[in-house]
Amino acid sequence: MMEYILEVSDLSKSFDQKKAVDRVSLKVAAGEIFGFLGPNGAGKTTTIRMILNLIHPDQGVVRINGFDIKKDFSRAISFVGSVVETPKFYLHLTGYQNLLLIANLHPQIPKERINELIEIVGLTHAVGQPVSTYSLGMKQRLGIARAFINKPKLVFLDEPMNGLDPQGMIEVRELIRKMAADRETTFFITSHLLKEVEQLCTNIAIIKDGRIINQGKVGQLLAGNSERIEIYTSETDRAIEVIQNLVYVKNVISFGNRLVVELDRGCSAQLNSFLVSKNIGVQYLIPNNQSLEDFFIRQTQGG
Amino acid sequence: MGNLVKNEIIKFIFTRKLYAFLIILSLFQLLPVVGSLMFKINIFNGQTYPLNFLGLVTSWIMPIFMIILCADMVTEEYLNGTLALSLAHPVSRTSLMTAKAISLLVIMTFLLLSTLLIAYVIGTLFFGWGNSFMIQGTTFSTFNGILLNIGLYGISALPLIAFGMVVMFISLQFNSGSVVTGVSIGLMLILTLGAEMVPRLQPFIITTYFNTFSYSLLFFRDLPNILMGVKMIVLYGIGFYLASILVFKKRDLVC
Repeated sequence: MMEYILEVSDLSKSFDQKKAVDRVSLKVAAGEIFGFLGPNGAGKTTTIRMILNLIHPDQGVVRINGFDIKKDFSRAISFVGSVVETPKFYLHLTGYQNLLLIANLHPQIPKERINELIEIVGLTHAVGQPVSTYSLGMKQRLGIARAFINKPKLVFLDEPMNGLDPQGMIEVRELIRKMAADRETTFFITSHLLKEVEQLCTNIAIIKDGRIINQGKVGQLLAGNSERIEIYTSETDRAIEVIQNLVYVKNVISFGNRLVVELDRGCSAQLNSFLVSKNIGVQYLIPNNQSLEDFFIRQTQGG
Repeated sequence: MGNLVKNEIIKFIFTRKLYAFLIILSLFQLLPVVGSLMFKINIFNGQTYPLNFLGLVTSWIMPIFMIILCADMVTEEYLNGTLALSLAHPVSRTSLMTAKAISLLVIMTFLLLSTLLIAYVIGTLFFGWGNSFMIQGTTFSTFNGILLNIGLYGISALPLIAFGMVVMFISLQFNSGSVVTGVSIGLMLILTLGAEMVPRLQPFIITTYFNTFSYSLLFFRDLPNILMGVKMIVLYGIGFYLASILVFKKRDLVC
């Protein structure tokens, strides 16, 4: 039986009569890197804040490691680390002091844990400086270190790549991979940088206007029931004429000497043979994999 | 709870406000020195010098510091998003508010005793230690004088913390530190002036006890006034503390 570290059911919240989150249900298995995607204002941060009990839901239940966040807050939250939106710090305190404030809330955690995390996130050189002098990338890394102080089983990272330059993104991505490598930590990541999510996450859920519109394994969602291929031929008009009525062809678009064909998964070889049998020369046939970005845009912009 | 209080103290110790408060307190205490040097009048000695400031410090300066501290600890922390940091760990909202209330008491007591120490230093430096400690026509030994000063300053923290709970409640109502500061200072002025204009209201107004409570208690004069003071401090303190917790528990932390 699958072990779920996070179970959310029927979570709803309205602000001033406007539904911000509408009956959201999610299950995140232990060890996953879960991506929570949605356009701006879709309800991602509100959902995370409700999971963390910072915002009171109008209805719904949140269970973390089996403990109800409302009824058994201390036990449920003790498994959690989080960075919600841009990591917030006491800017006049040093990086070390900011981590110390959180370590103080967990008396069982030895103070050496702070130095260990500072080393992992690569901030040893800056830990004695006030956080007001840190760059955004350094703050993100310090935020990640803070999220790990209590050795959490479940870590929420809300837009961890926000404001980072490409080098910073690579560093944070590698950091998350490093932290996730032991499979003892489950990550719940929101991001609008879909390439990052595609590279990191195993499962995703997409939220739009407060509602979950799709969720599942990244590979399966992207694969779907159809695939796209690009066909390069000098006889595009004749090719369109002969293939457009085939049962397994769903859509054909022409771009000069290139056709983009959407067809049932696994039928590309059959289509190639068919074109050859009709004496249409095929120069190239290139599978056109759907990216998470394409999938996300189709999901969030459709209906 | 102890660790939460420790965190609040750490945050305060490393803030520039602490040093600004201490500098302001020192500057106020230098004013009589300047006056005394200008007019060549010497009516002070080091032992009694702190008494000259008790009224000003407890009635005006400390309440304003209390307002600034509360606005910082609650409203500004909420707006900066740091209030939610502890609550994403096994810390209840009641514990967090209680820790903030205890920290306010500790910080107020520290600032009051620092004021006393600064007054001793400045008084002794400019006017000498003196031979006796005289208050309200009674002379005390040096040791008893020091104890009395510590008592007068230390006990003043009690009506101040009761007022602090009122400000904490106000801090939870607004999403701007400046609005909290303005409303709280306005309330303090209304209460103080109201008490002056309608003497019958004085026993029910917390600002009345800023200056008088510690004197009444230490010299055990006017028992009904002492008992009324205790009642009002408990009523304001506990009442607004509980109201603050109730409000905070229901609040959505969206920042």
